[in-house]
Amino acid sequence: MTRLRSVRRNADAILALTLLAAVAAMCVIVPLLWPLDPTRGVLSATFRPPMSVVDGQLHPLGTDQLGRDLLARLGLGTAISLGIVLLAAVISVVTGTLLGMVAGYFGGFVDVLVMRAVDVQLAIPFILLILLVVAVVGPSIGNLVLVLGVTGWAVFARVARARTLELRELEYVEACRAIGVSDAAILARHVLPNILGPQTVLLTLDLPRLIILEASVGFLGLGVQPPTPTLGNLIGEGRSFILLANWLVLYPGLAIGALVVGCNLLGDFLVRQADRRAA
Amino acid sequence: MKALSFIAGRALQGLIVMIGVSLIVFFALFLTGDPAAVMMPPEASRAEIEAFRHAMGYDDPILVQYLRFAGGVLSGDFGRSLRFQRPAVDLLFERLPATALLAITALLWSSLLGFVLGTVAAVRQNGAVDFVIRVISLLGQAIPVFWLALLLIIVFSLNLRWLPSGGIGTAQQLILPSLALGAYYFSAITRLVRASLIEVLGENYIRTARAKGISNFRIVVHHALRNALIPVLTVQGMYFASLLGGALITEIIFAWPGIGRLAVDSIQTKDFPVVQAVVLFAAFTFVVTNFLVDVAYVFLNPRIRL
Amino acid sequence: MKHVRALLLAAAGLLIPVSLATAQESEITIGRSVSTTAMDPGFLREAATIVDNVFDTLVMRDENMQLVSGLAESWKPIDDTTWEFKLKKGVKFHNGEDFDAEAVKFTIDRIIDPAANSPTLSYIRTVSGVEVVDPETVRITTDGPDPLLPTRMSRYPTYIVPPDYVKSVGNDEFARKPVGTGPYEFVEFIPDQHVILKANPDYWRGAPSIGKVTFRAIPDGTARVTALLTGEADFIESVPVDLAPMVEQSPDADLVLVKNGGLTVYLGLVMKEAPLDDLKVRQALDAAIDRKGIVDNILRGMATPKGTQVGPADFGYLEIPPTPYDPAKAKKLLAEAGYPDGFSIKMESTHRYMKDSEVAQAIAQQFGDIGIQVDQEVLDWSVYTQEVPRPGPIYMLGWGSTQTLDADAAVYAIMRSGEPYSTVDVPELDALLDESRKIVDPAAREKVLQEIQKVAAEKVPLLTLYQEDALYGKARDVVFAGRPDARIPVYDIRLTR
Repeated sequence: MTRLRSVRRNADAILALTLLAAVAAMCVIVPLLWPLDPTRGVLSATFRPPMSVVDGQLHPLGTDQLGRDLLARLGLGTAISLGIVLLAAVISVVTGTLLGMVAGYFGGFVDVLVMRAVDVQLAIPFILLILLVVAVVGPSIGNLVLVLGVTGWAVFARVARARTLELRELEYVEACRAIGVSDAAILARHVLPNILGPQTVLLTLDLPRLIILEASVGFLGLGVQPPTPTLGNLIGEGRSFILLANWLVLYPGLAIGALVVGCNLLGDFLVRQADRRAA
Repeated sequence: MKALSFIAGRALQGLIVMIGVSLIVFFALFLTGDPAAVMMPPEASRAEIEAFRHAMGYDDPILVQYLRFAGGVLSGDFGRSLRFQRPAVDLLFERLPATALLAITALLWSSLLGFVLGTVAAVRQNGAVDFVIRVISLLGQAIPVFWLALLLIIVFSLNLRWLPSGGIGTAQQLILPSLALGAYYFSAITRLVRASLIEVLGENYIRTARAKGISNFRIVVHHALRNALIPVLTVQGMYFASLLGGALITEIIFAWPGIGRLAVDSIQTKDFPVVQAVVLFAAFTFVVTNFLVDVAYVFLNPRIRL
Repeated sequence: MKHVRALLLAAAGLLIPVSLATAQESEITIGRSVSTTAMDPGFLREAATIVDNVFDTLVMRDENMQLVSGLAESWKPIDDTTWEFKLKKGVKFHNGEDFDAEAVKFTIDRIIDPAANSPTLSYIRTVSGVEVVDPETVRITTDGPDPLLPTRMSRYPTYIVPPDYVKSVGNDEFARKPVGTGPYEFVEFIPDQHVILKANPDYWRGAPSIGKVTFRAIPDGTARVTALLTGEADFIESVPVDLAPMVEQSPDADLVLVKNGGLTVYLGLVMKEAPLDDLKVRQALDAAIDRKGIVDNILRGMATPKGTQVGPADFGYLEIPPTPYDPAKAKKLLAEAGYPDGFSIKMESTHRYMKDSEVAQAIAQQFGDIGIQVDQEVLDWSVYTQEVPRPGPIYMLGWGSTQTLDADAAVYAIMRSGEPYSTVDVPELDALLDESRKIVDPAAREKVLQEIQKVAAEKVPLLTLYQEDALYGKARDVVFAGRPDARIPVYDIRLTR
């Protein structure tokens, strides 16, 4: 029984890593090595189905409404989407962890302020906030990263605070304080390293939310502007042609699915590992 | 007594959150630069904009403006829609029933089915049934709502011609959008119920009950599920916020005239009074839901009651 | 070829009396690409498709686009600046109010009132006043001679509204619950959902054959076609060009194609700004566009590449072939203008025209071929129209004269410097455009209008691309051939079920 379970646990992790590695490989290999330009097409070769050959050139995933190679667009699009999401996640984790640590460590008014800000942040629907900000400041990649990052910090702050509260009470932290080690040094040397683990797990579980959020903004046509592809843009643009060329929506959808399943499985695996270590 | 003060504390917190949200919603308008310039038609002259600014009080101190805004909101006045030339709150309440119908239907089927399948999966842990349920719930969380919605339309409207592809009015028209919207929650709830039930089933008192020879069915229904409910309930409140995000896209694809579509249209047309009304309302719903969850939590978990 | 057949069949269908169903039971659902926000015909910010069925104008256009009697029996010029209209007797609004000269005066006065800020005031800007002679006679005076005045009385904003009703309920309520003299009465309006109309049994041209009309808003093109194919809608506007073959091949539906029934799409250029102030640069851009490639491959031939903004059916049309695609020449012109390595420029487009985003991307790529780096921005239509003229410096827009069938409507507003939609600044064009508005003699006017198009082709103040066809989809049992003026008069539609 236990052996079976551990085999399955590892199978989950292997599947997760395979999916993520496949998508990551596509993000790196296609933009670097695939010879076709993702933003230039051949007007006389639109809507060619997967595995079509046009003028001796193979299009493994077919061509789009402007005769552009879908593989090239999917590779670059996934890379850009992942880039946006990961940068946004970094912003979320850094701000969230810092605020959470400070709130948990110092308590009092700072704590109340940060925690109420967390509540406020969580109460406002992310997507509306993002659409609103993008509509006002303009849809550039930089703006998207910022706005996705700034709206995602709350969960990280909550967890960081909870963990800091526990750590603060530990004997060695109290000892440090007693011998006059500065607060900043305690936070950096003793609190932060112990928070990073849980934050990583949380990040893995939060990434799918970010991926789908970014894709939704792109789907609504309010994200990165054409001809630059992103996962959401590809589906949003392909949607008009879905009855004609379903591959335009199918493959980007699969890429999103692989990313999300991969992250979820990996996150679950990490949570179980952490639980086991704790037990 | 303790429970009562806990509830009062939570209510106070909710109030503070709403004040915070109103501040953000109010100041978001100033991010756009000059609200008067945004709200006036492009052909308006400088003098007209100036007159409008004065009439709307945009030249008063910012605190005065905020208090006026907050006072208006408390008395149900969210300003007038620039697009429809009507009170924003009327538009909101006109669309609300459609969104509520969609969201509640989606929430109902997804919770019920999620509970059943999650329980089955937990009881049959590591079996074939569990595996299938796990795969379904993994996929349900991985498929973006817009992708699923398109798929449903192609299969059930266009190919099979069983169900209409959009619009509102009949029960048939409700099926596809609520399926699309509920898929994510269904998966999430299935996974949660399964995970927390497995945890509870491993605890000592359940083992004791088993040893006493109480039937498996009885153990699951009477003892385990009740305790497994708590984490599910806690997360339910959190999901509520993303429900609106999903509803927004579902409403656009299925031409469903709810507040999500109203919000997107209003953002695109810079109809800010309506956007403010929708955001405030969504936040209010979120706060109230979470408050109710907290209250339910008190009654479900005897340890807090003590 | 198949749509030609569909057209012929539809036309033949019109001749056969096929009113098998009684007015009470027959109904039609029309899928629209935009959702209505308001239905006050004097203050529309959208196409008049729905109000066109609720209201009447003094003058109407028949299916051959000839002006015919509407609420006015007859009209004639009294002097250079006055037209007299004799009105029909006994016509009533849906609420029982009488239609008379006062209603005409009220209708026009409320639009030309500067304080009212009517968005479509420009269509009747020449009107200076209305005088009631007797209940059946009105005189409309204009600033100067206006040969187009009867045409102006055939379209919005001059749908006649009931004075007492409008005064008693106010403009806002009127826009939600319109009352007119037209073939259909307003029943229900749910924003973003539908507008329902029912037949007006006392209509002065005779009771309509279709009893109930539902206009459903289905913004997504795929969803609209799906609704047609599944029978949820009987008739749809704007079939996406890529789905046109699917509609054609469907056993349940037909495609209705109105050749040149759409707008003429062009790229506006902000001429004041460098480098677009240089004629050679504009000519280079013009020659860099492969219009035929775009029309054939992206628009599937459902548009016509053009060299002038004026439509072939318009008065004053001059046939000018589209600028030939010649990237080598474009590159040379660019080098001559002092940009051998090109430059980078922003181009705006929107979601409004046939595959506009794809066309914009294709053009951006073709500009890229001659070394011009294009930075694209796609804005929602509702945002796009908020700022006029677009800051560009290059922006896509469609313009048409389908409702007046006169070259003036096709060029004046977008080529006269200083007009709200214009970013053109060519003194020679300004002089000609001003002159054209002062001439009453048709032959002399036609000459000037043609001269305007010649000058425009030489100076390239904007890049004319192509004129769209209008594409409708209809269920097999709907008989309607489509109209060049893009109206959908349900009164003229027949059902054969």
